[in-house]
Amino acid sequence: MNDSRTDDAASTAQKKEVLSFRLGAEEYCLDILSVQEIRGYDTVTSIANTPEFIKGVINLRGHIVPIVDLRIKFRLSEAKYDSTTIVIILNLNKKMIGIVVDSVSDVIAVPVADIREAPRFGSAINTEFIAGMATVDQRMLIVVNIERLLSSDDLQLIDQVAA
Amino acid sequence: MSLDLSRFHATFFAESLEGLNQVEEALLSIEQRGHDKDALDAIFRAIHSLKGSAGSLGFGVIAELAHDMESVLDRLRQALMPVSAESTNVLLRGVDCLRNWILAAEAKEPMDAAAGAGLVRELQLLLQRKVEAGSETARHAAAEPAAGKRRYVIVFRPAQDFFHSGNDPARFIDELAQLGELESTVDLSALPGMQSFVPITCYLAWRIKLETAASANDIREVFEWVSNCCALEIEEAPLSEAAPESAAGEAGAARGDVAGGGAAEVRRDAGLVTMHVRTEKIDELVNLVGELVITHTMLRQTAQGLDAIKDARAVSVFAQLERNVQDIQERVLAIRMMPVNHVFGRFPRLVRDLGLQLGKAIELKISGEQAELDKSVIEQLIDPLTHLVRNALDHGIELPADRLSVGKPAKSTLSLHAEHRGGRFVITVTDDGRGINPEMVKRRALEIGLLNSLEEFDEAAMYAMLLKPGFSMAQKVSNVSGRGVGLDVVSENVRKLGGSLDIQSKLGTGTTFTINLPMTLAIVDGMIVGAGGERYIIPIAFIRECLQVSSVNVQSVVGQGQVLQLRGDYIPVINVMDICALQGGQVVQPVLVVIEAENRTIALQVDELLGQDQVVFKSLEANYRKVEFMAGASILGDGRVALILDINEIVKQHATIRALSRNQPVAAVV
Repeated sequence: MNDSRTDDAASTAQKKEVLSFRLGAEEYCLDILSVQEIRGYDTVTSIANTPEFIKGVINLRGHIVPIVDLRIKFRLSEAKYDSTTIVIILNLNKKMIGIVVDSVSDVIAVPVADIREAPRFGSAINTEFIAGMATVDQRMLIVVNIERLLSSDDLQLIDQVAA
Repeated sequence: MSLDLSRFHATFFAESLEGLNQVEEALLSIEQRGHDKDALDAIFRAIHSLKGSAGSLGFGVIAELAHDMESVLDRLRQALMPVSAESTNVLLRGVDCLRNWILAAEAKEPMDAAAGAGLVRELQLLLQRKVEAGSETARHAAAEPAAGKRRYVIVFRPAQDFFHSGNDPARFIDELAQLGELESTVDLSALPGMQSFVPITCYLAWRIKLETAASANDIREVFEWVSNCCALEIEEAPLSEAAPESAAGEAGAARGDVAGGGAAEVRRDAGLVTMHVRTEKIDELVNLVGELVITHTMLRQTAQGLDAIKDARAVSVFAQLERNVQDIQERVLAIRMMPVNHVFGRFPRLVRDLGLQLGKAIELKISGEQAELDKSVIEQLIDPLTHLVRNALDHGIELPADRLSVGKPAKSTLSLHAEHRGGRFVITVTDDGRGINPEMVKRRALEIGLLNSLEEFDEAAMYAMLLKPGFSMAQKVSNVSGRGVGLDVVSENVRKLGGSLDIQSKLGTGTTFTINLPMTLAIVDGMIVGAGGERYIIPIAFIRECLQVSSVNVQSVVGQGQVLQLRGDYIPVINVMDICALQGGQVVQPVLVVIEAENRTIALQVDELLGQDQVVFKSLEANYRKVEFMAGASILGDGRVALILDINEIVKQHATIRALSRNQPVAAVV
């Protein structure tokens, strides 16, 4: 569903809008169409027998939404929770998932032609989950394939999507 | 014109099944109360419209059987034939057969046409016989209208979407032709130009002159099942003049176009008393309202500091808001409510058939069938209730001869009653049969080894025994009940709905089964407990009692964890912190919650009890996945999420829960 929408956007504007966020020193971005909303971090209810990076669940207007802390998952920065901690609520395959990141920068329109295949290099996130790289205004952005990341084996947060 | 008719099938199936249920109900009521013109008319109409729809959707077999049933019904309603047990039997079997065919068609399975052949023969036999008997009256009745042959001018103007419902106007004109001599002209005035012509829209109207002995009502009946999608004008014209009338009629028809269309519109609106809404849409609404209630609670907490005099306006607005929120919540939850009649409605037939089969005369009394209950609960009540009713008929109620010999009336009474009682829904199934004999239950229990001879056996123990798996009083297996899957299944089903099953029985007088249910599955009565700094919800239906650890005897068993000694029983103790893998400090006064499920009892140790509340049940799988030992989650008054413990799973798997190496055993905490 997401893919077709992305295609539409690409064919009309030839640009893909992405939301950029920081994890430690690196700047990542993800397809804006999978973002439902951005909110502050609130107390979560923890769930037994889950990995440390699954913080628990929150109440989002009556929906029970799991929260994943990508900072813990990728050991990128110290996981602090204060009034400035950000949660990006994603809507993937009709499921809602919240991810905790260090900060959200802005929404950038990246020309589709500028998104290159990622070279095999040592970013904290396995290249398997990287859709590509782009440079906008001298900033290097890593475009994350968030669906594949969240449906990966150790997370298993959403049903496997067709690759 | 070829149209894909399959998309009308779903509607046809749903409507026909509903219609058949009504027919069945009406047939049964006629059997009891005797000839009832209105009820017979209703049955006739239902079968007639079924025949019409089946025919036009290509279910010829269904239409044929319906036709024969209709003929019999026609005789019945004109009182040319008495209502007898025989006719009711055949008609009921006809209803069954039609229902099976429709269900088969719905499942895209072949229809068992052979089943209908026998029925058709029986129906025709019934007809022939009664023609002879009633020929006198029949001839008389037929002679009367034949004297006055009349001419009607009928303007039949199908609505524009006439074809959408799979109808063919020619069919109705053909049927009219069977009533008498017919002359029909087509009115093409509404036909648009080629550019704007839509082939599936009906632009045509017919002006039909009919000479017949039939009455205007008979004509109307032909169009009965399209009455909500056409405009119909029937005028009686004198036999002599014809020509001038037709010219005037042409102009009238053109004028009538607008008016006729409008009338059809209005009639359709009037028919729209109910509408189908997807359950998800309602659930979404329920969700949002739940959220609204929580937001309101939080707002109220914030507003507590308001001064009653200084902020009088704000205070009154808050009060108003509170009322509105409560109203909305009630109304929204009421959308999911359905009258319990949806379950009760199936029992008159069941009781009648079983009664005949068992040779028992039974009067079924149904009361409170309008009481409403959540749809999800109603659906899951069908099996347990059917079981109880069959049980009462087979075991509870005696044969007429036996009843007479103990001075009871030969006809026994089985009552089904439903009512709201203190926020719960209570259903009772009462029979005036032989009651349960404690001695026999005891003997049987000893026989199959569910009881040892030393155990005390009082009334409560007897009822408990009846609910044990594998216990059956039936001496031999019958196809009515007594397969050994007995009341324990009923009890378990009811418990799954968050309810309880009680038995009251008096030897020789009868037995009452009482099912006590929550009003809805969406809301759970929960005990909120604290453990390791988190809050959890235990559904109250499972809780037997709560105890202070300090007041009871808890012992450590090497390698087996903790055991609670309670009134001679040894109950395993499990710490909720272990279930939820929480690290907690020592608690001053831990509490044991004794729970019972799947016929096992265990004690859950929690840090504290925080209170009882009705909580809205939410699935964790919607956005996440199944979590071990958790049934779901709910949102508490402060807007936070608390998990609901899955008691069934915990009881089943408690042996696998390993205690974390906490420093001190429970008993030492005290």
